[in-house]
Amino acid sequence: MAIRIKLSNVMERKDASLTELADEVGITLANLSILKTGKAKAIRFTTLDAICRALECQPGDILTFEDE
Amino acid sequence: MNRKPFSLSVLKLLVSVWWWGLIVSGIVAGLWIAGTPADQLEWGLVGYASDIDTSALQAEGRDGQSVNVQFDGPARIKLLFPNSTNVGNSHFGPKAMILFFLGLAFAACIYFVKQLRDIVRTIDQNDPFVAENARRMRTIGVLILVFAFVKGIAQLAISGIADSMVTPTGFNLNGRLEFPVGLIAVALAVIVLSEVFRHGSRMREEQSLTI
Repeated sequence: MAIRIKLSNVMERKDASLTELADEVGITLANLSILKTGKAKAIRFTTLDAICRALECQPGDILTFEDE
Repeated sequence: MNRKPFSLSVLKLLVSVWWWGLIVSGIVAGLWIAGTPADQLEWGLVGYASDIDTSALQAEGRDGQSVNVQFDGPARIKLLFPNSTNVGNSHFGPKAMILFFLGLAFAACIYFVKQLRDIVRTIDQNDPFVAENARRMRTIGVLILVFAFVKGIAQLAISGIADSMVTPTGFNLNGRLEFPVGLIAVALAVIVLSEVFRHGSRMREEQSLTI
């Protein structure tokens, strides 16, 4: 898939830990880890909304399209 | 509390009995055939008879009128040769041939039941909607389909062999090429269901990886 997740970059920039973000977004640590490592198949708008709200960023900061 | 349904326990038991029963009976049959001297074995051949003379068979309707009796299609008959029949001369004799075909049938049966056993195991582990189960269902369907075709061809071939070994009176041994339509329908249904299962397991994987 050509969609890449750059969550770790944004988290590093905002100095947010995995546990804190999982708590704030309201998803499990395991699911956040799946998202961060790029193993997720899809992301719900509600999850994306909560992550953007927690990290004060835009969806484009987290998701990118890289043509293979 | 996630309690397992009673039907699952029954299913597990049935499949286990089938699995172990098959292994034990296969080993016992193999050892028995291998261990018994060829001249003490009773040699039999299953053939398919057609054009059976039914003149000796009679039936009467409730009103006393005679009813015609006919055999519908080839009838399964067993030709039992006397123990003294000299069948064990060649190096690759009938005993080895029986063991070979028995082994082949045993391997196919074991493979078939193994698929069922593995599917039941995934249900027991609360994770049946996986791609492996779709593959297993497909294997079961293909095995049934292969069995149906082999049965049709073997029926014709065995009748031919039987015809070359005996001279029948009152019936013919030239069997017809007939495939079991019911089995083929079941096999196709299982293969179609396996495709549905494959699609379902893919959707389930996507669902579980949607965050």
